[in-house]
Amino acid sequence: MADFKNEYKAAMNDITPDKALVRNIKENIKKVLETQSSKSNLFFNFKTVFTAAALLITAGTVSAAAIFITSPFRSESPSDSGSRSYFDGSEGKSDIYTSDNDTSYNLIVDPDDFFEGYFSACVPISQLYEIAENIDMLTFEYFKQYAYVIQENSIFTITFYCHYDETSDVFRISSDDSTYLYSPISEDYMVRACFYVDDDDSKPFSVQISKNRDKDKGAFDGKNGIDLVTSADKLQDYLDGNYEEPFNNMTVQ
Amino acid sequence: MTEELSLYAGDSLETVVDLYGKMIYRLAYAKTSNIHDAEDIMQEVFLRYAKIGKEGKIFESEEHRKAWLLRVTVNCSKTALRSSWNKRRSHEELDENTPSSDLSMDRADTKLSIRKAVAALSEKYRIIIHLYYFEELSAKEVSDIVGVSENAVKTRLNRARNKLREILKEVDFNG
Repeated sequence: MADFKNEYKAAMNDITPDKALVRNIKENIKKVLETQSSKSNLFFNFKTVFTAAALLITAGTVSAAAIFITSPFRSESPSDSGSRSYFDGSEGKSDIYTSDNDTSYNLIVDPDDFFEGYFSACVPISQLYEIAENIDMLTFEYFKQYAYVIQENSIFTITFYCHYDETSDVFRISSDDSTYLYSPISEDYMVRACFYVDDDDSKPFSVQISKNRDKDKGAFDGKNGIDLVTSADKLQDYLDGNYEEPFNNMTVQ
Repeated sequence: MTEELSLYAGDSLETVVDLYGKMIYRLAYAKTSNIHDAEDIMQEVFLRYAKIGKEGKIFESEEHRKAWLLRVTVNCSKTALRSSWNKRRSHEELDENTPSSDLSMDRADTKLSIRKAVAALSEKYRIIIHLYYFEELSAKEVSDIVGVSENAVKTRLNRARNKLREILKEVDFNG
């Protein structure tokens, strides 16, 4: 394949953007930045959100119960409890995940809700990676629509319910531990993910992001993640073609 | 270190587009096998770059910036591939979308054969082939960008090679 390398490079060298495209991109970026400059304060910086919310928690101003009671956006009727539906990948839509053991909302929440409330929904994997990999530049909108958040002491575990399809072929888990997703603040956050094949019978995988994770422990807090490690082994097997069954028993939390 | 940081922070967007435009465009093409998608992805990547620049984010090194751009390109490409339009589309567009070559017909044929052979692979193989052979990244670097384990990269690389050998068995590589 040594020759293939040279031939491939030669073939791909012919693939270049034309000058008009490059010029248009430069102009478009300028326009967008000019437009955005007037809107720059509309969104939350993620770090700021965490800090502000932590202060709110300390002050005891928010409770999960309050969120449940006051939420005007709850979108499931009691009869829906126990059913699951998954995000279909279309932009702007967030199907709701529900189960008997948690309460699901399609909320537009305040930052303080983020820490005390329980939200879950499905998220397209593309958006998941936008979240995970660009976590510091996200608007808070992403999280509050799709995250299932649990706070235990100082650890925040954010679980995303997602699905895998043939084009979202990104396995983030190494065989013996979770994988860090790139982030400028990755020292403070860890992302752990499970994926499996999407079909009519598939269930969502999860991604967990923990703050202040103790890297030496190899898990979030001794409670979360253990099952995911097991699943990761299976996932690697699957990736290597040695595992045929779907990961129907993958559990999260 | 301060000088280094200011260097990256101070690069104009136009400079960055000139520096990395082709890299992003080719990677997007390798992933999607479609020129039009590659154009859209290239713009999207630079928009994201512009946004983080506007927020004052600074890359630690040139390698850091390059890795970020590659990673975002991969992610944007996945998003593009996920669209229903792309799922319906076949690689039949490859011929009409790829640029013609001004070299000899045989040479041009070889290049087209190479591109078609790679395009015939599934996208998970295409992206690894491109990063490994064109960008000349190590398996570890590819794993970091694509988000799979290093072993998985090696596995896919091996499978991709085998598939390519099969596809290209009638293509004679000289030299």
